[in-house]
Amino acid sequence: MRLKKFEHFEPRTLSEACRLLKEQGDKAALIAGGTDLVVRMKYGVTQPQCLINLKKVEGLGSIALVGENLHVGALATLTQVRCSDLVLERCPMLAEAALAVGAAQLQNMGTIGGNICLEPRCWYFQQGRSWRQARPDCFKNGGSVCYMAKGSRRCHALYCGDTAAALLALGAKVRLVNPGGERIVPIEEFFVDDGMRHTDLQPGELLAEVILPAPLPGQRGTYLKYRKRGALDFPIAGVAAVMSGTTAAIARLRIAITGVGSSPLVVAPPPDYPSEAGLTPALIDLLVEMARKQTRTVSHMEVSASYRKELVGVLVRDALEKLGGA
Amino acid sequence: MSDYAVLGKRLPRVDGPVKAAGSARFTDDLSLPGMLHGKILRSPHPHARILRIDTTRAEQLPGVRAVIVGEDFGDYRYGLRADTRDEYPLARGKVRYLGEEVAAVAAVDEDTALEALELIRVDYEVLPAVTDPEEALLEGAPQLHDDKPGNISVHMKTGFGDVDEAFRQADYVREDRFYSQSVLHGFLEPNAALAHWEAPNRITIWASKQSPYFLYRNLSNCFNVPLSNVRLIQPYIGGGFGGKNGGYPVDFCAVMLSKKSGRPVKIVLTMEEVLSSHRRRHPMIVRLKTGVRKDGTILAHDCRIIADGGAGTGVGPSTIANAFYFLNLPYVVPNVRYEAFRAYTNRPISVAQRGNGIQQIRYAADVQLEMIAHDLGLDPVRIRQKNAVYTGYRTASGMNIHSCGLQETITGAVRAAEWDTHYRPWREKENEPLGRIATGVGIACNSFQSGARLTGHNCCTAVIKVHEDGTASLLTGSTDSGQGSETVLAMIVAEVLGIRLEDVFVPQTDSTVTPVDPGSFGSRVSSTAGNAVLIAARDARQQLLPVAAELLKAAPEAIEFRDCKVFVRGAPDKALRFRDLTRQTVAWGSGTSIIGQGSWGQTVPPMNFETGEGDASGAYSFGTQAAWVEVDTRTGRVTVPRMVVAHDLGFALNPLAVEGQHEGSIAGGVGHTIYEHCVEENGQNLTPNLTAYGLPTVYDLPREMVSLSIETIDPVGAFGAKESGEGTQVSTIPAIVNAIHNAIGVWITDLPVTPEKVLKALRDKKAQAKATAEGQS
Ligand SMILES: Cc1cc2nc3c(=O)[nH]c(=O)nc-3n(C[C@H](O)[C@H](O)[C@H](O)COP(=O)(O)OP(=O)(O)OC[C@H]3O[C@@H](n4cnc5c(N)ncnc54)[C@H](O)[C@@H]3O)c2cc1C
Repeated sequence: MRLKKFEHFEPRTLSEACRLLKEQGDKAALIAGGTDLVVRMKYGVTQPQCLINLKKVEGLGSIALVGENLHVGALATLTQVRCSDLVLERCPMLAEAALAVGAAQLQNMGTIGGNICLEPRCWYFQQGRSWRQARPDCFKNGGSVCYMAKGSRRCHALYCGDTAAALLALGAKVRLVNPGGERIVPIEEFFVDDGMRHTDLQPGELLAEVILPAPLPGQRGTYLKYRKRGALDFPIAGVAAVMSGTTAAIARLRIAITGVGSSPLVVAPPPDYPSEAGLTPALIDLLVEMARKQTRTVSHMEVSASYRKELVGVLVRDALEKLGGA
Repeated sequence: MSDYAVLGKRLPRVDGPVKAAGSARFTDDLSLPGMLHGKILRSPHPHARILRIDTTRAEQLPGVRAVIVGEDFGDYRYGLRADTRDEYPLARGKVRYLGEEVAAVAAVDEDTALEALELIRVDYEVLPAVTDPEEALLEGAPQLHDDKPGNISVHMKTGFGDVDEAFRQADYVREDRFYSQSVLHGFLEPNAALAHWEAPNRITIWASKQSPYFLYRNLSNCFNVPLSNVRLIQPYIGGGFGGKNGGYPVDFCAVMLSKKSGRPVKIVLTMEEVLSSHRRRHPMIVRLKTGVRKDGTILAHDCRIIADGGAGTGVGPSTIANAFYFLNLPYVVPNVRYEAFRAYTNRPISVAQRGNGIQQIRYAADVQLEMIAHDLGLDPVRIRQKNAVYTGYRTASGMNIHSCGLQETITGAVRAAEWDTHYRPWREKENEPLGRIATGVGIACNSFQSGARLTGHNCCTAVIKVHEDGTASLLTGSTDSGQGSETVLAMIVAEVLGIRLEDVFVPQTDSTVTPVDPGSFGSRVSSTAGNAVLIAARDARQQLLPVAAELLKAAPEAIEFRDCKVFVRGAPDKALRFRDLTRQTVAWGSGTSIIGQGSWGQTVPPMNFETGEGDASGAYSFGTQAAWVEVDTRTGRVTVPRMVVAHDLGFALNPLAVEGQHEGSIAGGVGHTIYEHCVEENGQNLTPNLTAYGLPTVYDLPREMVSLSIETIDPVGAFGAKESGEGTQVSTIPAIVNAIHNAIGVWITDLPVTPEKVLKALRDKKAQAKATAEGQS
């Protein structure tokens, strides 16, 4: 589990980072906290010849209000996110999600940018070299099988980032910077349902910050995570739900789910649902059913597909009941 | 009440500060000038013939100093007994499990060694593999060892009393199948060895071993050097739990690489290597048939076991024998029949792990007793009280109980668990709707050997050197692998010599210096080595007495040693300081050294691996555990917020150390019951890292753990002490599983208790109830 040799760059500005990224192309990897990347490098499943370290990019870790919006820099650590007064005041569920990541040490090292861009996971992918030599490579390791879904023609690695669910439910946007400029896109457009390439980042592009809109009146949210143990584990399913307005008359309701597919997914009430009826048991049942249907998961990593669906239903119900104050 | 000055006190462990401060040195912390780094090449197949190994390119890589393969060890094989030697330091001819050691390399640094591994070419002919023990025993199954037909590694068949007649007499008979899964030892320091071969034939090795003297003999045999030339020095050990008993390829390879290269060689396994290919607990299928009277009195057990032995035998015979011995305890079983097969499979080798075979059998037997109580409408506590063994009892197989506080442990556990407030039989709750969280309580009892009595050398020896300034060094070959025995043995010295714990130094095992010892297994150290230390300390005191008598002008019998003083009983002013006595003694006449020595063997003959007749140990501990569980009926998740351990340990030499053991048992038991499992596919472990494997974290353990010690002052053990190590983990599983039944009315007979299994059991039960209801209407 030793690291292969690599070059190490420490750009001071985003544009310099983008330029390096573009120049080095496939040989390069961005490193923020390193808690995901270095593990993969040790396994030998990612072997960058050069690392572009974001640590020294000025201002990339700031958490600040810009007008009405809250901007969270990609380099802000999960600990900084969950302890930030601005975050706690405006979207405490993001703090909840950051707190659910791994354990304290990982939150101190890990960044929100790294958490969003977290590589999809699979028991057949994140393994050491000698382990992998015992079977033909899977898609994600350059081969042509997926061991999670035999016969499948695509990779089914699971996206397991915790904060993504909260950000999706909150309607966040991401600011992406590339050598030619930048673009701001809703975070749901950022994720791609593909275990091999799960973000829309283009060559030379990186994630600069997350932009959270001002909370709506009466907004509340929660992030519920089901994992095997009380700490350390990635979500088997994670559900974020945000509601604004009142229980009696909902203004906006959005659910997002992570850990169940190659990208996180959003569940929203159908456009024609009667929002003035409020968060009724019937609406909760409807959303639970929708969430279960939308969860098209393969049997994976100790739990079966049907159990994972079951959990999604339980978490969605619990989250909504919590928001409804039931 | 005992009137000890040191024993029985809650004294912190002597190795605590260095470990907490990070200054304790483990094998990997050591290095020698010119040292090379070793790496091991492992098999990528669960079963294959080795056609050819080409090491040329690896040998040519700059920085590589030695490459070895199986042939370098000639025909050397090792194992517990002459007839079970089926392990090679490096594979010969065949590989029998994925991850088996095939070749090893020593190079100037780890990177070079790793690079060299990639340059070794091994041609394999892949053979069909068998990874299921039941399939392995079928005709036509792939065969692992030519000289062990039918894949039978160990077979034991025995019985006592008349089982068939007992079943005829029984009012109720039940038969069930239980499965205990593959779990790992979970030590945090990977196996490691630093070896130095000095020509022509001297070996020095620092290795992480809980029982170093196995390896000391192994190395002597393997390298054909006299035992006097094998120096095994034991650094601090980061846990063992049975996974660091014997010699393993890592040790043999380090020595061979050093011999070949002429340089010291260190090999430290990665955690991945440990978790995927090192030893683990025996998975077991237990089929148990039990007959009882209406009142719950057990009449007979008929038990058939199929144990998954993996590719080698290891200490398997003791595991299989243990399961039989503890089919007979802690309840009275007048008639018993037992047949066990330990099957070879293409999996890593199963060995002892905390409880060695006893967890698996007691899980089955104690859960089944609970099933019987439920079926017959009997109270779970009373059925245990009714069947509990007692002092003076002799099992049908001939195990003799000299001290037994089982009833007291039941009473203690019941009281501490507030059983009467919380327990309602499932029958009473059955028709109430299950809430989102269902709660239940469960109880189970245990017994354990206080020092396993294996064959061969089984005696502990202690040497105590009393220094002239009144301090002492204790030389013992009994290793502290983290269980705290160093502290407890030092306390015994301090007690007998009347000095303080901090006045006693216990260097770690060094086979050239410390007396030979069986090792730290089978919960033997405190009670067995404890007696050797007691005798040695008395011997040292005896050497001081004549001088003390002379100086104090008193009869030797009237002299007491306490509080660093030596004084005449009843006249404390007639005293001298201990260190004045030692100073005077060493200079007495023409001078002397004060060296006490003591040996203590076992009071019973060796275990009978064939018939299981007679004792397994000179003394037996007893205990009861009570668990409180919460079951989330929507997700199936089980948590254990509270657990009680009440243990008859004879005498608590150090209550603080005992508590640590009890809490460790709960952690190990909760892990085994709920969290841990090697998920495998065709012999490949899919969870070879600590994130996926899932040892419970502190958040997953009971928030409240109650530890009760019942003192029965055993006639055999040191100061009346019995074991309090492995035994306390024996009933953790059944206590939790019984509590789950009490909460939701389903029996989990297949470990681990994953949430998904619980949910499925609940569903099946509901469906069944519905079907029955429909059938009735
Ligand atoms: C034992 C363990 C448990 C864990 N448990 C959890 C868990 O429960 N939940 C969870 O979500 N995560 C978990 N993690 C994963 C990880 O620690 C976190 O996701 C963390 O937030 C990653 O952030 P980082 O800064 O360390 O990422 P890095 O490792 O630095 O980067 C991760 C990936 O994102 C890319 N990247 C980083 N920053 C940017 C950027 N600004 N723009 C574009 N790409 C970028 C990197 O190139 C890399 O591919 C766990 C990790 C371990 C080792």
